[in-house]
Amino acid sequence: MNKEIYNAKEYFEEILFGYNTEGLGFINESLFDFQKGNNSTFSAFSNDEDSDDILSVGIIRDNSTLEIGITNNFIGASAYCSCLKNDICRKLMLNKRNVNVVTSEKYRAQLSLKTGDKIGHYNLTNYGSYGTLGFFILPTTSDKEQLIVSNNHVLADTNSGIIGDPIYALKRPNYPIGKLTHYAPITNGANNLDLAVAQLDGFKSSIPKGSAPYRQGKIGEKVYKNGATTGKTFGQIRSLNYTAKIDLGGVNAVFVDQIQITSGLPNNSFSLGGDSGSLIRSYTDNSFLGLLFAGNGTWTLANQQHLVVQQLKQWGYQIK
Amino acid sequence: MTINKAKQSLEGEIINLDGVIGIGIIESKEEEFIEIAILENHPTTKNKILELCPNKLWKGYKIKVIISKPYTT
Repeated sequence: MNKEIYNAKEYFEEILFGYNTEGLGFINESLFDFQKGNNSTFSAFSNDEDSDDILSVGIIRDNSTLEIGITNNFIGASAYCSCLKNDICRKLMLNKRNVNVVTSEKYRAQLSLKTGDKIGHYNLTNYGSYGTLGFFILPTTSDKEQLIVSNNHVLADTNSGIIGDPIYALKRPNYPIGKLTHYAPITNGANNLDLAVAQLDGFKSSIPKGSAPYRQGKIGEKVYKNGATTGKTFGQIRSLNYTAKIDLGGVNAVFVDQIQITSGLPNNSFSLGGDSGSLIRSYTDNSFLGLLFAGNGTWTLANQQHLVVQQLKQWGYQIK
Repeated sequence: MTINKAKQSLEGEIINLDGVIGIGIIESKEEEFIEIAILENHPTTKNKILELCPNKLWKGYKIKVIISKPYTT
């Protein structure tokens, strides 16, 4: 029996990988039988010259059972499974007890996102550029996906983005991880924030639970961040109400009331390009103190936490 | 006048000068002053600031002009 099961497994693997096109005709016969038996003229199940509906093949239960997973994207999936099972057993001369046809969700690559990951609006990631995933926040209602926070210039390409634009993570460059939902515009006047939010698509299980306290930093306070370029680095707050002109691709914008941070180690930068969006945390109690957005190799600038939190709340997000 | 107010008023005077890229209050155990960061090769700007702040004082508070690299995102 084992040999027959293994032969059958090979047969379905060839269908799965697209080498066995004859097998597709046989599956279509089962579909025809199923539709006839159910007087069904409509089915969302399609098997026109491709093997997309066979999702998995495996031998289970001490090598005694062949299990075939098919998509559940059509009406009456379980009834179709029975038709298919009958046809498989007849064609491959297997005992019905040794075959299971089950419906299944499509397998997706598991991707967990974490703070410090390389992310960005597609205008950035298309050219290999990126910023940092700063932190996660909760949606306004529990039925929605979680959200991520970074800078406007990371998630909205400095005001160029349109709400709903796809956001990418460099570790999964072919599919967006979410879409732009809000950003604070950077103006020609005085700015406080370089902030944007994107909603994730299908990452519910990978979001860490818990909350971080936030408070005002102190002059001389030791801090750290986890950036996409330089990783975890340590620094010290040098000024709490710094005003700076920032070069945003040829356009100067003035940012007021910013935190200025100096590196904790001589000849080492606290941040470099790509670290934008990192969360600045207190070394002593992990409190959220600011959102990194600019630097010049010697000093790093961050938006004040209370302004970030205030804006996120105004947009309706839950901040613990 | 507090140092914050002094910094704010100085900012209004010099933020638009070519080459000025940062103004901040720097505090340490020893001293407290207003730091003005300017880009390299802007001697005219530096002179204007020093003219505006005789004896390197602004509203009674010490100022320091430093050379800095530009900030980028």
